[in-house]
Amino acid sequence: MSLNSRPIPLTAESLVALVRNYYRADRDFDLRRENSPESERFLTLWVQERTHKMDQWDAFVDELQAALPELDVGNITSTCDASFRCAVYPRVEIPPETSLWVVVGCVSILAPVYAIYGLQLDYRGKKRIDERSFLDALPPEMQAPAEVVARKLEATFGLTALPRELARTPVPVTVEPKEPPHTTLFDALFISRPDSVPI
Amino acid sequence: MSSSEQLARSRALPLPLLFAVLPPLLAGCSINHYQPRHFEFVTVVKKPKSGSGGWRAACLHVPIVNTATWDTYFCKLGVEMPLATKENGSISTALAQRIAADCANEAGRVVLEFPNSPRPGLLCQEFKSTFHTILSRAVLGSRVMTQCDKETTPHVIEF
Repeated sequence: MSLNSRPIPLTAESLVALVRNYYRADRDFDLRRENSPESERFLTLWVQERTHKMDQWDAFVDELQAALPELDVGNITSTCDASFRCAVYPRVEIPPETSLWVVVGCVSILAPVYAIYGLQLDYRGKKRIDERSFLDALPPEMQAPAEVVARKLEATFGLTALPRELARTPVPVTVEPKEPPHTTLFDALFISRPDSVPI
Repeated sequence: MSSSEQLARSRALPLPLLFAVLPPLLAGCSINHYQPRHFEFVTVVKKPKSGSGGWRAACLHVPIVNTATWDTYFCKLGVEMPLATKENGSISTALAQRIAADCANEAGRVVLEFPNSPRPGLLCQEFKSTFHTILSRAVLGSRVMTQCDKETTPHVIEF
């Protein structure tokens, strides 16, 4: 089973060239009713992806839940971003009193790569007051579940983890709200607001 | 130009110029003109059999008229929200529409109170960003952006 059938060399040049098909550097189309050609490509691709692959992703999330019975696992895909996403977090009452950790697995719809990141959500009086994302090294409590998500993504879909140094590569495109020179391959291939998790 | 420079510059502009651009977008926001029916949500990711998840999207085109030149621009708003979260439970379409309209009206009030720029592009961006901040606090994970999902039908706001 394959979630992404478009193999591509994992080099900065090829990935930057790839994402430039789906995002622009300028905001010339912001005030026009029509979409840019790049935006049209992105939106059309998402319709195809979710039509043909969301059932596979749901099945993967179910399998992940079976592999991590002591934790909660959910499909948190938001189709404004460039990835299927799942979240793994402790089975506690939400919102919690103080904090919650979340491991997020993302599979890009643009290239056959995945990424795992962590989030620490802080609460006070059951209101979320802060989010911290961990795009590189994960805190100890997140490492074991992250490992399970990674191994299962590789085994199920034959995907490769996007190396961190490639994920940090700047790309000259706008992925709302990120703009050059701050936009990275991670933003374009997965998500530009990693702290946004609908759980 | 930094945002503080933009702010300083816009404050130096004569008031009539600001108001020439602002009313069509902001007058509507300031008096609760966004209504739930403006947010025609469609389900783009169905809710799983159990638990939270699922995703819905709506699209708004808000006209901005520069009354000095009568040029019309469109501020595109892609508004996307989860169908259910652990925190909120299942969120019906009617409830999502009410929340989105309330947050849009609140964003309009905030932007009208401290407009940073008379330029339609920056005004639209400022409104989207404020709307996003308020909506994503109301329902965690919600988003407001420029791009509208392909399966949505843009709702053109007429104030």
